[in-house]
Amino acid sequence: MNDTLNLLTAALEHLTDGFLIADDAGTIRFANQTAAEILGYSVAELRELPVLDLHHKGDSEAERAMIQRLQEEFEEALERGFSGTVQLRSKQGEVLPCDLNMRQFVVDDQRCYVCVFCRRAQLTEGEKLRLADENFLYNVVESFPMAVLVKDIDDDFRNIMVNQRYEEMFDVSREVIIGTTDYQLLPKEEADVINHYYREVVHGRDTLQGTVTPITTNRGRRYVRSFNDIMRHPDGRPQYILSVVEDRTDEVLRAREARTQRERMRKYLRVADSALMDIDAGGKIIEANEQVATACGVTQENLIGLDFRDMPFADDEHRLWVSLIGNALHGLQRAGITDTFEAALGGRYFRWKVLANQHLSRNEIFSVTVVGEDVTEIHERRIEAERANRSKSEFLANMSHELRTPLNAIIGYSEMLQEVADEDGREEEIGDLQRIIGAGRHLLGLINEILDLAKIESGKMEVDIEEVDLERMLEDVRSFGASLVINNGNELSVEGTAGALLFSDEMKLKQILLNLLANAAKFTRHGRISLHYEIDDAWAGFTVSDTGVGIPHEDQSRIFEAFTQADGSSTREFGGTGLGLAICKRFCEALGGSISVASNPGGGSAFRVVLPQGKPSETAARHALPDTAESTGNTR
Amino acid sequence: MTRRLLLVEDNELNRDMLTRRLKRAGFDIAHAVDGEEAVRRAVSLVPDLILMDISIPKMDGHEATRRIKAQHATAHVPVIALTAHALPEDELAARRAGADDFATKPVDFNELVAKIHRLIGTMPGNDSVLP
Repeated sequence: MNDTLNLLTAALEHLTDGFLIADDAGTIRFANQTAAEILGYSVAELRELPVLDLHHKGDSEAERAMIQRLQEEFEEALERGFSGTVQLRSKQGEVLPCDLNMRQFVVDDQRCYVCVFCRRAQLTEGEKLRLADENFLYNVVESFPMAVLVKDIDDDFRNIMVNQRYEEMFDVSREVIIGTTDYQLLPKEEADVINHYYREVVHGRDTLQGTVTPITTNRGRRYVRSFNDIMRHPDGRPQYILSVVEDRTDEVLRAREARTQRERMRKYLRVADSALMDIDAGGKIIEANEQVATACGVTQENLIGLDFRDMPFADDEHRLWVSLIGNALHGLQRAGITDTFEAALGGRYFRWKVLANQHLSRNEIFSVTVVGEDVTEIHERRIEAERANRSKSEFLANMSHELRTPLNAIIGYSEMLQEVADEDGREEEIGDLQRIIGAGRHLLGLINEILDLAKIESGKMEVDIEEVDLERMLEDVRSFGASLVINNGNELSVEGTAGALLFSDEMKLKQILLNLLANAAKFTRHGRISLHYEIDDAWAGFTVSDTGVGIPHEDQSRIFEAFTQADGSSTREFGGTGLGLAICKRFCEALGGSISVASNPGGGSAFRVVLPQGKPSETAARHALPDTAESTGNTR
Repeated sequence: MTRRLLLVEDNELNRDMLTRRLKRAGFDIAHAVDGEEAVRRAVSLVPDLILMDISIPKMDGHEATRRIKAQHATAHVPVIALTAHALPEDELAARRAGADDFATKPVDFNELVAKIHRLIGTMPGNDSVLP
């Protein structure tokens, strides 16, 4: 064992290379004589010396800084071993280019390093310089945290250096790359692009700086971006191109995917019937299809990027638009509600829907999508229908005027003749004249009711809400009503409770009640007709019940339509215009209330009118939730 | 003293019917068949009251009423507008033109007579001016 150790030690002493062993802390534990000679130390001096102290530290500040960095890299390199040229320094301060080989090994759990080095052959100054350059360059390149390729400008951009990152990035070994040109490694068209690029860089026209270029590699087609710089020879001419290469393939593919999706979406947007746009959280229009652009009278390009407030809506509609989109952007849209409004844009009429897009995980709006359905045709039809309805109503009003004029004469002459016949005692004429007068008045009633309907439908009906003198109104109803119901031998009762003052349109309410009483009297013989009322803070309810023939269930839904009685023949049997209930319904609606019927054939009918208290505009909203309104009404 | 009414009515039947009935009710009746004649006759006759149809030729009842009410000699003569239009704004339009009252055709004759008496301050069947 001892012999072997002596033999090894002797062998190391006779080695023509310097030989060092350093411990884990980098302190030299063993040095042979050759090492001491090369470095100008004694063997004893070398022992205990930190191995890194042997490394040349550089002369200038910049060089020292550079070497400091390299040294840190070098220390890392120690981990995995090192082989190459280094600049060592002798005890006397002479810089010594040496070929050095270093490996790490472990003995008895102790990590050690073994270094074998020899002085490089005597170099010319030029060689020294080049060696220093190349060595420096090598270290820079190898340790660079990005893929690096160095090309020799004078040799067709032949690759002369490549680092490990590059090898990893493209799954290629440096043996393949070094010494070849791009034309040997890549398809010609790719090499053309890249070499053109290098020439531009050499001539200082690096216009393609950072451009992403496709290249074919062992890992398939990759998209790379390179940043290139020229390394100059000490005489100033460009010598190498240092190309720092980034693999942007993932990003390119992601962008391509996004573009494909966007294009697909644009295609959908283009073929969509609706106007579609997306507004980002900052209020910018980030997407808008041609339908929107056309309506705005601008190109799509000019529209995208504008603020949503720049949309050319008319004044009132613009205010609504700004308010609704603003709400949506600020997350103020009520949950589950899609704001919908109609507004004209560029001569077309759209029904817009506003949808806020929210991150699922976060409570944050990232965009607002607006869909505008072109409802121009529907809108025009509606306007046309309204106009037609108005002219129909005007026609009815005019017609009723034309009808009243001769009727005026018929009734007037008949009444006069009846008076004369009365005075002269010509009994046999009186009955006939009364029949003429009765028929004339019936005709007059029809015309009046047609006119009432026309008034309602031409929008000329005014609603005049004021405090109703309930006592007086009920007295009127009772006395008029009594004369109505008595015809068929009916009895009338009026009763109810008023817990509050009543605010409504007295004339219309009276007409509703009289129409209902007249209707009840018409279909009831020798029965009872009752008007029941209850009035509270929020609502007034009136129910007219009778003990008459009743209404078949299948007819109950259409009796409120104009010119409808349950049975078409009943108009003849029971008389009446068939307009009374239609007018009741329209009056109830004008007052913000409703009318309904409950009836059993043969078991009488009950018509119930429910009117809200106060102004129709206020009560319309309350009417939508009568149950709530009634319950809150009681607590007030 | 018999009260004289000026009846302005273009429809012959209605004019005749109303004339005969009003005469039976004790009034003296003069006629006009259009707006211009109405103004002329109102000025020349200065009747106790004018029954003014609104839909009449040449000058409508509103304008005729306006002119009658603008003349010093006839400004005090009560006017009852008669119209077959029965919309609330028709009544308002008539009143704005200066009509003192309004009756919808076909007129309720008894009601019309009551209105006439009220406006000229007489009792039916009694020509004396109310105290």
